[in-house]
Amino acid sequence: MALGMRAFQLKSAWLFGILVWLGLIAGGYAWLLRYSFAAGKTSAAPRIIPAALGLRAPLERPQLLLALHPRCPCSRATMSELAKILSRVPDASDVTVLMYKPQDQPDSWLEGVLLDACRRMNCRVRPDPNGRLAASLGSLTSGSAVLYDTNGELRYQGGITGSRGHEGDNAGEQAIIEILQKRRSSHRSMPIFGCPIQPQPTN
Amino acid sequence: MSSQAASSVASVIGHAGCERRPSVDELYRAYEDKVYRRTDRLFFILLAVQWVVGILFAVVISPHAWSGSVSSVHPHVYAAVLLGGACCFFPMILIWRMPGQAVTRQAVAIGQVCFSSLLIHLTGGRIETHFHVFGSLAFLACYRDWKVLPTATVIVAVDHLLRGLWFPESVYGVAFSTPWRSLEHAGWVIFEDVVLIWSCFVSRREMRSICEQQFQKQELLDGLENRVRERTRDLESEIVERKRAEQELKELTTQLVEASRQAGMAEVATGVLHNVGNVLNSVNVSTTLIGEKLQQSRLSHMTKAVGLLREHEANLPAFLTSDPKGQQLPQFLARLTDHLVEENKALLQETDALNQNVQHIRQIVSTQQSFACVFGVTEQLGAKRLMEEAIQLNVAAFDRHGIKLVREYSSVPPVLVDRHKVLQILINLLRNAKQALREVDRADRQVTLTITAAGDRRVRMVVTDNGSGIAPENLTKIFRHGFTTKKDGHGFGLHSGALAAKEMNGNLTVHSDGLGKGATFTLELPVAAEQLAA
Repeated sequence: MALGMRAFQLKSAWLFGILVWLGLIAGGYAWLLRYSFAAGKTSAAPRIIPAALGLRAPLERPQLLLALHPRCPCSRATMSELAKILSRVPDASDVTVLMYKPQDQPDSWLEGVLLDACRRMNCRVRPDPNGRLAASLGSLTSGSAVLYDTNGELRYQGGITGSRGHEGDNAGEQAIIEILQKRRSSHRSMPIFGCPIQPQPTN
Repeated sequence: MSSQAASSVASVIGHAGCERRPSVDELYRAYEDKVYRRTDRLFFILLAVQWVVGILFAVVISPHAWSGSVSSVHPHVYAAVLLGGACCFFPMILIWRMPGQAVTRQAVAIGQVCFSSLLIHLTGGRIETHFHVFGSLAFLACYRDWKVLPTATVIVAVDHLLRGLWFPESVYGVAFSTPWRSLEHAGWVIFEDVVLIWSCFVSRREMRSICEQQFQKQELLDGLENRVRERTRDLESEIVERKRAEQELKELTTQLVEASRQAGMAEVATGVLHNVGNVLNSVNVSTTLIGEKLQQSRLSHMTKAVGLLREHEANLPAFLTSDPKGQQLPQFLARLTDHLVEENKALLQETDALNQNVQHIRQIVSTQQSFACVFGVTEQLGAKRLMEEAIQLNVAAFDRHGIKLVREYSSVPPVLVDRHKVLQILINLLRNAKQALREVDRADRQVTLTITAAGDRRVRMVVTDNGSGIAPENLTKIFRHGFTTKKDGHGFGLHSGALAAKEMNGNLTVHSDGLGKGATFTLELPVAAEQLAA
């Protein structure tokens, strides 16, 4: 009898352990998902392309401006999605990557997988000391894309990945392709997932 | 199956020799347990390696999160360490504490697919990483327990369904997804499950078949072992019996050796007596001849002559010149002297032969004595000399019976032999020839003595007579101990001669064309080694 009770207790302990374990895993995944879908900060981009960029309407081709933190691992997915856009609508736009760089760092600070990807895609790379150019476009998070048409008017602002660091079809990417294909797009803005370009104030 | 059951079966299997034979079911459960434990060990390693690889992925792909120029450890690294650890460690603890149990397998299945999900996340939703799910299912199938596959499948399906509904990007990498896509993914997983579950059933069927075969084999082995045990018992008693028989045999052998020794002594005595007897015949002949010669001696004539001289001692010159008897006396004395000289010579010759025979008897006895202690002395001797010595000892007998001796000697190298053994053989052969010739009534009684070389290594000494011959049926028996065709024979001479020839590395053979056609005895002896070397 005592033996049966002990076996029951042991079994219950194991069951409890398994439930706790499953709960831990579920909690861990919930935290991970929350992090993955936590959108970065952004502010509204100018409706007309800013003069600070040295571009003036009418433009020869639509301008796609992408703000990147060169060391943000989440932005690798952004580069993969940009590659998809360029392959889906080749030569439909001029792509300029504004690559963040601390003021006091040399240009070699930019070197990394993201700069390599830009070179492979023949994108124009502009070092962006302290992210001032990006800030002028309202891009405060790495992976932020801003699209101006040939008239210099804002057509899209937002991310081109579905979540943090995840490749795959998503609404932002789809919107840019539709705009470049001169089709009607239902999205003009989407959340951005990436590292903050500017240092975030600590609470 | 509980671990107690498994261990008890293992015990039954481990001590099959001394405990009861396990049934097919017990063997099957033990085999099953072995597979479970083996696969548990495999997963223990796999989970540990996966956890490390997951951390490496996180560290390599996303080591830091950046905020401007400030970096911090990326949350993916924490996720890889903590969440990955949570996925792996609990099943690993179960494997360590409760190997082979169903709950362990189920926990492994859950942990493994949860880790697949984490890995997909850490690699940025790469579609290639989804293959980890399929690989994991294949690994789980190693348990050959189909029940772990539905558990893993349910986890995958629920994960895909929930995330597909609320966070499709995190699982499919797209923002737009329908439940059908989740079902499609689950469908592929189920497709693999069907194959794996089927393979599990097939494997288990084969396991059962192996156990049945093992059971039958064990049954056979046990039967064989029993037979071996019985046979061993039989052999043991047989060994005891044999040892007893050996002991008896040993005792019998001892008795037989003693009997043989006595018989041998008798045989030796027979041999000695035979050889001595042969020589004694010659001695007898010699003494008879000496006696006869002494009886027939003219010495009495000398006494008469001396008497005449003494009678006429006073007028001896007149007696010798005028008396007719006296006138003949000097001539008579001269003839008598010649005769006595010849008689003396013959007596000396016969005495010499007698002496040789006595010496030979002495040598026979001495040889026999030395034979009893040491081997005979071998020496290099000429075959011709040996033959002549043997003839010399028998020559009177041959003369007496009017037997002609023919010598046909070739030039041959010396032989390495024991002189007296050879003489015994030859004397025996000559004596046999003489006896064979005595039995036939013919004028040309003849013994031919031949010496030739038989190749480079042997010398052949042949004694051929044209006497009574040997019947064909007796040719094979003639050297046998105790076999004789003579009325007064002992059946020993040729037997001992053949043995003596063999001892000297030679041989003695016989040939006869049949009764009345004579016989040929051939003694082959080895050439001396020095001659061979030369």
